[in-house]
Amino acid sequence: MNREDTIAALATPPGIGALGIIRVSGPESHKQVDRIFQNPQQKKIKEMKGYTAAYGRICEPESGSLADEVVVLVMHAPHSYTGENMVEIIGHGGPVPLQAILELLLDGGARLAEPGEFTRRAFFNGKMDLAQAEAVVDVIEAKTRQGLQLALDQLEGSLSRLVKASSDRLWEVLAYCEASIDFPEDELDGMSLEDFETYLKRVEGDLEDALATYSRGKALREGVRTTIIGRPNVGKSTLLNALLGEERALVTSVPGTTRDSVEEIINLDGIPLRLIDTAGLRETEDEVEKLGVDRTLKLLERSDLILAVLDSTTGFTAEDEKMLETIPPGKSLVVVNKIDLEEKIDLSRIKGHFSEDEILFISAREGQGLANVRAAIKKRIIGTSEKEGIWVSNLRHERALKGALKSVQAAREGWEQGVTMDLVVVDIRGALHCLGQITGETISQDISREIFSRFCIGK
Amino acid sequence: MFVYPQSYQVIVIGAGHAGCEAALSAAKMGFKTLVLTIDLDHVAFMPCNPSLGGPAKGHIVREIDALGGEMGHNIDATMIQVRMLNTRKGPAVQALRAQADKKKYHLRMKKVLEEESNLDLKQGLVTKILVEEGKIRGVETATGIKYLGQKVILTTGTFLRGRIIIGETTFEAGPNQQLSAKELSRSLQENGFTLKRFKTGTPPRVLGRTIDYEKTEPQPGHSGSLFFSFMHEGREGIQGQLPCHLTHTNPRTHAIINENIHRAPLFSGVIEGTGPRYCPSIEDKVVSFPNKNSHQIFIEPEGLSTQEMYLSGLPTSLPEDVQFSFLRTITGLERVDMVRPGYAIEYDVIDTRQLNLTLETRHIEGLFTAGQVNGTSGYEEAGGQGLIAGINAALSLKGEAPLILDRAQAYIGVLIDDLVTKGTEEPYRMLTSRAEYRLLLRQDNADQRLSPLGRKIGLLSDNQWKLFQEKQQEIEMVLGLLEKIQVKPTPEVNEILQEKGSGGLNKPVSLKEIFRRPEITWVDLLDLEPELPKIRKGVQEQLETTIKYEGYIERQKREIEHFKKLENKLLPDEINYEDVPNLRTEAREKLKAVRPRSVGQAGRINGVSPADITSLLIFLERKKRND
Repeated sequence: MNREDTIAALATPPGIGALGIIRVSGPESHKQVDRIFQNPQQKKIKEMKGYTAAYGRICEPESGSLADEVVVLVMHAPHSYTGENMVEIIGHGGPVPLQAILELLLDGGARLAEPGEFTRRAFFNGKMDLAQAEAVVDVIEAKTRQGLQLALDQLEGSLSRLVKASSDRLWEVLAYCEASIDFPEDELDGMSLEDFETYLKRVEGDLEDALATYSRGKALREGVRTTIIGRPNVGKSTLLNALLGEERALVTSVPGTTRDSVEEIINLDGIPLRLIDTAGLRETEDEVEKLGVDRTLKLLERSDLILAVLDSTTGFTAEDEKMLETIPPGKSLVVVNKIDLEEKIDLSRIKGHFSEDEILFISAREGQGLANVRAAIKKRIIGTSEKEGIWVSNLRHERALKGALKSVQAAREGWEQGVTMDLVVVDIRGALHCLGQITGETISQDISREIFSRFCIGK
Repeated sequence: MFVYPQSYQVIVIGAGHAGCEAALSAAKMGFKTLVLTIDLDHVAFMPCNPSLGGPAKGHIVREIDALGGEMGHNIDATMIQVRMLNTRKGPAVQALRAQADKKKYHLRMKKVLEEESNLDLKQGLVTKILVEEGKIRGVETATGIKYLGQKVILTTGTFLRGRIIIGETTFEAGPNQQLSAKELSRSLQENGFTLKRFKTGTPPRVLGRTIDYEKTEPQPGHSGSLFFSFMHEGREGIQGQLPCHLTHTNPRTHAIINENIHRAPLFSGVIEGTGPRYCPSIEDKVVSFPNKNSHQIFIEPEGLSTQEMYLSGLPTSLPEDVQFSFLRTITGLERVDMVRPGYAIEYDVIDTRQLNLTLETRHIEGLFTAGQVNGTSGYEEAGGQGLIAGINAALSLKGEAPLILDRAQAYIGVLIDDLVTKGTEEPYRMLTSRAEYRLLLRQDNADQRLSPLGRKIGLLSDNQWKLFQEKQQEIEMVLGLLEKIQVKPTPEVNEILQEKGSGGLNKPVSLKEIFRRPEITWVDLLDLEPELPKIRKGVQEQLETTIKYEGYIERQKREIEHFKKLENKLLPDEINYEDVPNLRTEAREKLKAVRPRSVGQAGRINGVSPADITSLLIFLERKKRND
């Protein structure tokens, strides 16, 4: 427990509410929020009086992209709940913008608060009496238990297998290093310095994969941003309506998430598909003609999933070609519509760009082939098997994985540049420390056991 | 019962590596000190390997020296080979390792003790500690002498109920068949101490002239000024070093061991004590790693005045005939003459969770314990503890605050904190991987870390203190120069840099910035700036490490600041853990047993959780507000 960090956490219960509050406390809290807060009057938080509020926008400081419109409430030490400098950021109550704000704060150097930490700080700063403080301990205990249950749940998933595998590999590297440092004249079997890079690279790859599941998991929580694209009259609306009809879609309006349009969310077997710019779609506007226009390119870039619709009866046009060249293949599916009618399209031209399971044949009007579309979407989003469907969904885990990745990269780069082993080990230990926050292993207790079980050592 | 007419301020039981350091420090700090040893011909004896140092252990020897202890001087004067290990693995883990002339090592240390004016060295087998009202009063010997003293330091090594095992043969004995100290164990138990049983072992010794060295690989020493004591820095390196030799066991060796494994006391249940994992016997290695066809053996000379050779890597308690047979399967040892068989020794150790960080026992005021009796292994670990016990006995006589080194200050601090906070389930060997702040606990900076402390408590000699101060001034002076002198991006400079495989400059930078580059050495700096002063190697090394690793070192320093916060939050002596609300029962029991000195130490006890620490902090805070 370090009281010099600046900590941040969601203060309102997770889920959708009208408003949500993020609480920031610690010596740097004003500075941290100033980094991401923009206000029409150019007000700076650290210059504001205690217990005053300001309206503004929270933006990513480099790209300027908007996370949410907020009201901030400023408190100065010692006149705050914790007795430290504090800011409360009041935003829209959806998980998307709140999470985005929190991530921006953590990127700027704040630390995710531990359970009960605000209250604990309040006690140690003399803001609370004993009875309250004792209640705090109960809260911590309860939260720890709850955390444990969460950890156990995670343990059963693929994430934990992956973390375990990475951490095993790092242990192996560490045990080798430590054994060769502490027993320089012993012969160490089973590993050699040449394996080092391979091992570290493998771990890097695995951690990157795990982190990728975080954005996938995030897409699931927040809705998979989906764009249906195609020439006029290829059947975009029919496809949409077919999907809506068949799935007895839950249609929700989510105001304020992108700020520029009303979106629809359809529920596809529990996967929320967020249809982007559907207004455009329904007006049968020619999306294809606009390809190359920045706005459309950005739209495609922002999409998690693109359904490119072709018309089987009209043949393959120049516009179709342009569309297929523009859409990123990794996240696109080609839907060939109207297969109930005469087929004129020559598909050999697209087979090089898309694999067979990425090309789907339907008749949206007849409801033919829709099950395949649904399955393909699911597969694209979730992965091949249902069992793999456990993601890094916990921000704490995501932070730990990111920290581990950074350390492993530093270790590998250092090693490649000829940095000595005593320093490389610092980064490997750093990575294991981060992963230990997920697996519960601690280095100090386990390293000698690890050395002696792996190597035959001793003169 | 005869009461010895001279009464002492400090009595040390045992004159091994812990006992010698303990006695010398107490005596040098001004207190009349007595050392009692079972056998005067075994003072500072090395019953196992004839060598000192290596990673972590060599660091400890440097720390002992930096505080004003004797071990570094003694090995420097008696070594017959020296090597710097881990040179390519980085400055933090580099370590000296020396082969000692065993006889000379013992004789020189004995002489140092004899010459110390405040110190009496006598032969005597202690059978009892004398305790009155929870305070130590003195000791009693087997021959009926009572020695009275205000502080007693117990450094009995592996002698307590020592039992030697060679195959089917067992007998009561200390190391090298000296007398076993049976009765003292009972006296300790009667005074409330919990004892545990540990085991260790040693390999057979063989006759040098019966070894076929041609078939082995020589392992020569390293040349250059390599010494443990900071006082010997820059002195000309030792001459006429003896080599060690490397050979290996083979499948035939392992076959003989396997055929006789039913006769191995380790597996037949004869040995009850827990042995060290890092120093397994050869039979243990053969059984635990069946796929390994060969194990290394280093043949190490025991000294200049003997043909006896130590076979490092072969500790064993197999029957003597089995030892004889398997030895002769080994390359180079086909005709070898075994002169002493290897053996295992079992002995009593104290559960160190009964000690304070000062190494004073909690049961009996004025009684300290140090060395192998505390469950450690190794001459260096023993020496480090002995020194701290001696210093704290003396400081307590002076009525001054004790010397407690923490985990960020010294390997000795890590060692004692581990022993007292966690205890040990096997003979404890120091490893660099046990230290959290390894980059700061280097052998090159042990003087910077500890010599000011050694001086403050009055142990470091005037001479050593003067040398230390000169070195620090030199470091500061040269560091200032390196920061001040700017190198301009001239074609000549860039040519020199490129020759060293380093990138050219495009703007002026300080010499310090150039020194930061991994490929640039001190000699290279002289090419760039011939006016730099000539400095000692020790100074070069320290500058190089602090400059090149500044980033990493700063990181560890920040971690240490966090660590110190809880370490400096002391728990009051009178704290009653029954009064602390919300502690879990396990944590409460553990805290009551260990009685940690600080909240930081409490957090390292197995079974004390972060939530318990929070409860403890809340309790302390409430207490502070009430007071």
